[in-house]
Amino acid sequence: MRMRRLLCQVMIAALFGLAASTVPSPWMIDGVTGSTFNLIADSGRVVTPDGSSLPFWGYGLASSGKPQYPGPTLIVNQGDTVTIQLTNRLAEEVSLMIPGVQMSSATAPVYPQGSRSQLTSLVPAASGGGGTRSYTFTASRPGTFYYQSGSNQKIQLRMGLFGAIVVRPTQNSTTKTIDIAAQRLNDPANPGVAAVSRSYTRFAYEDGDGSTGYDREFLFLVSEMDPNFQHWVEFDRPLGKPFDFSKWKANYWFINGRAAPDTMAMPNVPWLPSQPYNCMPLFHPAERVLLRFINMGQDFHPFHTHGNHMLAVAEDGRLLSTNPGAAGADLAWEAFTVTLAPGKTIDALFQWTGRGLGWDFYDHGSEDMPAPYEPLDEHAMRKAFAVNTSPGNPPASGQSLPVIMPRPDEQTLGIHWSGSPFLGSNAELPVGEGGFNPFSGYFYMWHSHSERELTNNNIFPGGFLTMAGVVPWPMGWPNVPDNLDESDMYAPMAGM
Amino acid sequence: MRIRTFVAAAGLLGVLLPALPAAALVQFPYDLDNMPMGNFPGVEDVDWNADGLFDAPPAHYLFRHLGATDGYVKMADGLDMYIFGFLDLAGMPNADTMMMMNKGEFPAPTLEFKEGDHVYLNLSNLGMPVRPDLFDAHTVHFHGFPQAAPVFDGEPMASFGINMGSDLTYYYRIVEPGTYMYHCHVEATEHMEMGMLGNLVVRPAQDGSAVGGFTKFAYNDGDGTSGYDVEAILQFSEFDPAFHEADEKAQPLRFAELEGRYFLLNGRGYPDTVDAGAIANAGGDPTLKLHAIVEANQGQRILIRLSNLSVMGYATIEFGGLPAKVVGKCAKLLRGPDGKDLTYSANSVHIGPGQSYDVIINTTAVPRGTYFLYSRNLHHLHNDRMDRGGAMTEIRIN
Repeated sequence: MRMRRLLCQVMIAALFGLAASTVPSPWMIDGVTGSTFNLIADSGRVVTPDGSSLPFWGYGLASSGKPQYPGPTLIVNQGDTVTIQLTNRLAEEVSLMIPGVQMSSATAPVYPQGSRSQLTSLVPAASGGGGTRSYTFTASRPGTFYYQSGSNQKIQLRMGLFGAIVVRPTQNSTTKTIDIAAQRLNDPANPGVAAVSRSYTRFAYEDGDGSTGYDREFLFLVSEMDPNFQHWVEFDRPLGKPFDFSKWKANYWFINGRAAPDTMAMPNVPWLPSQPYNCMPLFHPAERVLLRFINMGQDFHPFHTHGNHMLAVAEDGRLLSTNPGAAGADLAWEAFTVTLAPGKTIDALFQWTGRGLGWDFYDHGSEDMPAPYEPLDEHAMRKAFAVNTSPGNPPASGQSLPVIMPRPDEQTLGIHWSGSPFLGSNAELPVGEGGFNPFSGYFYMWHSHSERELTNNNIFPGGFLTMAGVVPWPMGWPNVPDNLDESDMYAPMAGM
Repeated sequence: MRIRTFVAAAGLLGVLLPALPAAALVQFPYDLDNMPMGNFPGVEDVDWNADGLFDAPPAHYLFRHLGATDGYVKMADGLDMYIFGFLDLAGMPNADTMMMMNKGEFPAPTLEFKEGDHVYLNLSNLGMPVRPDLFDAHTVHFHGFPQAAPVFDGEPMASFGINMGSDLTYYYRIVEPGTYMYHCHVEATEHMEMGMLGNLVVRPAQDGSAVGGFTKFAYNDGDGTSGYDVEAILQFSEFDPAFHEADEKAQPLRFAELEGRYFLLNGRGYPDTVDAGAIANAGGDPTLKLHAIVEANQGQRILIRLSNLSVMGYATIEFGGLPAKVVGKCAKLLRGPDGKDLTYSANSVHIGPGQSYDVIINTTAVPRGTYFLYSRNLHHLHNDRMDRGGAMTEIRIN
């Protein structure tokens, strides 16, 4: 196969490049921006992919009038004075606290009976049945945070009263150029990773050196539910029946409020009215992708990224640095599985280039131009596989793929398999197979490695997983219509 | 959405053509005749050095052959537990591999590679004779392999599994040293709970050269930080006997009720962990081949390569109070982006499913004797109803 189509891809890239200013940026996470937020707390129902629905309590935007799971993601700028006005429509007291952030006014716990044994809230609360309370703070530090109820947490946090807060750094108004090659492998056939300079204007932290610069960001707010507990709150608790908390055991797991496969549906789909956020990271080769992790559950979750390591640059909203603001993330660590501890946040960078695979995953011909988004130095290296027949470079000499693939009838095919081992290529699949890889990308399961959590209450697969995709083409997502036809997506190629 | 066909000439079908080019293109062990230029391609049917003739593969080209099937292992309390497992088929004539049905091992055979290797790993799905109603595919997921491509990643939603009676060859160019693990990723919760788990180690290029007084290392550290004299490769896992029994007897699988009752290091609960020999199941097959003994002479440095492939949860593994230094995590030397030393001394590591740690124990000032490496999670210290067992093994300093 000679990839003349790569030439076409370059032209598409050029076309999309010209049109970039008219395409909404899909780089940032869903949420509400501003510095004043009117929230409600109310009860609703979450829908799970096994056909069940569970009661939850959640925050929501007063403007929408309904709660959501998790609460709205609040996106603010460093230095902002942020006010959250809470109206509590639940029957019991609800409050709002942000670990790692000092509220502007003095705080006090709530003991309505005057006795410590009657503690109902760690912080001032909005009383049940329509009470209001205002919370004001200065977003002095950038990073990934969360808000949660400070009231009756044993019940209210299991019920879903939490949401994410993203504080964008002041540094975002500046441009910083960094070498992003450090996360690439040192390819033994091409020793010495050449510096790859890239300029960023978006950063996770006030790092001083641009080391937290990123192209795209994705939120992973994880949580879990025991259906028995949720039903107890709905049916038995109002009758005064007790719940044996020692028997609490999660059997649903959520990313951004959805259990797989709903994690991979579009945002704001009508069949998930209380779960507006999805989690399906799509990005281009060599892009730096920021993953903002928040664990709002009570269990430890080991989060594994297929495809490559992550580089953790911050924990608990704090840059991993000996000298924040100057030294960058010089204490960053890499992992293929990160521990998401309850109540913890982690910011990690992910990058996929395919460097060092030892075969050309673009299947370049010797005359080919680089594919879109393919780093030029790596293109030269990979193209060498196609033309280098020297003894030093087997087995790829003359072959892009060093093995013989099994026959299609020997394979059980995955729905994200394009039919081809090559990025940007596909092959005909048997009728009914595949279909979830319209752009012939590379997909990777990103999931909890406590594999029991890949279920929805006894049903496998589901729960705590999503599929991340390396997209070889210019990306129209999320505006790609889901009834996309070949003639839509590849129209520029039709005459070539 | 329907599949686009505009690049129908893509490589997958192209390589199925019977006329194979005289270049390196290997399917192992499709080599049914083992004859140069025979009817079936094998490693000897490749022009490895591009001189126009078929020849033997160069050094650092490794060929491994695993089978996937079911089987039984004997737990420390005597229970014969039904498992799904891998086993080593290396060197076995293709026609004989089906005789290895129902002889799956636990853990899977340990895979050891070295940086710079080109690995062809063939997986033969032998089927599961105790469950003839199942027609499950299998894969090998090289867990932690950096910059992976889906075709060799073994995650079946993004690629494919191999059906019963068929073979699939994975190709890995080994570029990053470290402590990894591998497992089947098909219906992962079930196949992993059922035992398709194994150790995978990649040795660094620095091995064999003298650095900092050592010749063996976990990583290319340049200063001997990860140097060691003896090594122990240990994998923590858990089994739920009720789940295994349900699978054996074709009953519904209760994922919601999954609970570990056997807590294992290299597939065994104490005291089987310190039995140096293979342990046979009731049918006489030695399916528990790995022990978990850590042994060194006083003064030596021990490298513990620890991984966790439980499908349920974390374990806090203690190192017997011996001087332990954590030098690696998730197949990476603990070093910051600018080279800062991030290694640390510890009594234990809190290790989650899918994580690995590299821990150096320095026995220089350690009195001779027997110490215990074990999970401090107290409920990990039994073999179902048998007390004084579980995830525990001995560190013997001679």
